[in-house]
Amino acid sequence: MALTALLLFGLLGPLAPQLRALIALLQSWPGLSLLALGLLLGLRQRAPLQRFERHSREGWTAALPVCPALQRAALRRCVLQQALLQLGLGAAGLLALTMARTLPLTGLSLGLGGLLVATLLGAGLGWVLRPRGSAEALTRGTPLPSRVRAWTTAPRGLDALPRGLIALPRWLGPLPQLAQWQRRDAIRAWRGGRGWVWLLPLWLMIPAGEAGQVLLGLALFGAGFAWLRNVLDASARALGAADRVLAATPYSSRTFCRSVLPYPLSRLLAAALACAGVLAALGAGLAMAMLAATVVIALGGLELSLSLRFPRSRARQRLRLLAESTLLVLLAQQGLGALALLLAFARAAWHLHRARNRR
Amino acid sequence: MSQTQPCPLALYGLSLQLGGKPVLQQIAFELAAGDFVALVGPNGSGKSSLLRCIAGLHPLAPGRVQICGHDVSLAAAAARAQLGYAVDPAALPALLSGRECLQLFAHARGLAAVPAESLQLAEALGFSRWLDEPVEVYSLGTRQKLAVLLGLLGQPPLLLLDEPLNGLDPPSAWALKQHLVELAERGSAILLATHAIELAERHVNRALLLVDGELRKQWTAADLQRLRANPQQSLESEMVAAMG
Repeated sequence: MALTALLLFGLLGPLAPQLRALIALLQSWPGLSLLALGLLLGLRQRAPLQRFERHSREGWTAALPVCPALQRAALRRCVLQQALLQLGLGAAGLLALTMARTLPLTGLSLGLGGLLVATLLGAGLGWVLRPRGSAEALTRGTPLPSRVRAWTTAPRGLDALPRGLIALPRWLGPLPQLAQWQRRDAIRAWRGGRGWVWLLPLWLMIPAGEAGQVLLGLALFGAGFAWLRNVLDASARALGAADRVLAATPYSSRTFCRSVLPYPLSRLLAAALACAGVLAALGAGLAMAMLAATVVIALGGLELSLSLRFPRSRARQRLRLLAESTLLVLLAQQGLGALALLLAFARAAWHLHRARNRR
Repeated sequence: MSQTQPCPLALYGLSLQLGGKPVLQQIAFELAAGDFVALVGPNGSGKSSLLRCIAGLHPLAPGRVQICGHDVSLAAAAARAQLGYAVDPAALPALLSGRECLQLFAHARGLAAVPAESLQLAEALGFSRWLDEPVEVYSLGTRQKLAVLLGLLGQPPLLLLDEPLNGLDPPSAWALKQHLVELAERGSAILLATHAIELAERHVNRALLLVDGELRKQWTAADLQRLRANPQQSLESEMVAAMG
């Protein structure tokens, strides 16, 4: 969230005309917009509610001495509360957009409005376009199809093949299986719709009537960002689980860091380069493009180093990231952008140092 | 193992509190090389917590744990290098194959490759055909086999196994029991938390009873021989009597 907000603050400024058109569209029909938001979020909740309902009938809770009528009543109440909460969120989003009309479309209003629109619409449309059957298959306990399992490119084990025939690249570190674990988790999450739903709000900018080049640039920018977000999340999940499962082995923290850094770091660099390229294609100067790439690397590096330092607590990672990135934004807003960047890299290096000496 | 080498496991006054409640209290015992020890006790008596403490997975309260002379608190890496601990089957990485898990743990233990003996044991347990399948499609028993294989990688001097026979089919359970007996004969010390009294009665050479976090009773090799010789007596009945 912090990374999203920062990117919206820092990098979507030049795209204000596109967001202005979208906000104006929503403001023209606030009632319909509210209804649409509620509907989309209601649809978004259908899958987990279905799972909950099925579990209450077929899972271990079915053995509880609770009559079906009581279960149904509890489910209805849960649905009602969810709907009210979602409508409240939608209303808050519209309110923020209405406020944005009276304010210049920069800074806080742009960031808040863009964040809310992206979150609410992305979540709703993501549900509509999610891969069919994955949630049901998970509930039944049957294996997911290979396209969701991200298994098709799994290398066979070295011990089953002549030595040297297949070798994982050395840059993946001394425990290359950890990079495979992160990669598969990231691919599965992406194919399962966890990452690419963030792209959908971009297509709503089509009514802005901008040139195809701008739209393509936006889509590429969004794709890179969504993929990076997905990779960082998946890597943090995988390395947290790996740290737990390897806890009783004598591996060193340095070995662990060397093994879990290459995958997300390589994707971070690629995303930063893509970001710079897209911004350059959109007409931003080379200096601006390079600055944007540096910001992406600094913030992504900060998040990555925090996930290494506190591998078992996502809450702690996020809290620290939020606090530190807020400090960096405040510094940048005071005109100390260069200092903020330096500080971001320094903090990332410090967290990495602590992570390498964790055990 | 020569007499001058430190014993594989020594516990001195080990205590543990979780959530403010005492889980283990003043546990003290030693395991010599070749000891095959069953840790028995009712549910919630602290067997799994004791194994996790020894493996250094719980913060140690008062007390010390030494593995082959290395203090778990002071020299964790050196101590863990001498230790094999079977991972909780539910925590195995779902997105890796069994072979990749073996490679990962082998590398984490400093081994260049998965030892041939582990692959032979995999064959004996009927696990070979699952080696290249992702862990997420494994049944409970298959996960258990992998967890045991990971714990036994490299034949460390001390093995900690928590209910390793759970979910295993009879041929696999038999093969595992035979393998553990062979490992003990070759000098590994094995501490095995189990409810399988039959295993404890037939195969181990010591048994420890843990009740409410306290070591209530111990049976030496001579005690177990006496129980085996007398069909009117059993470890089960003695255990129930000792639990009060």
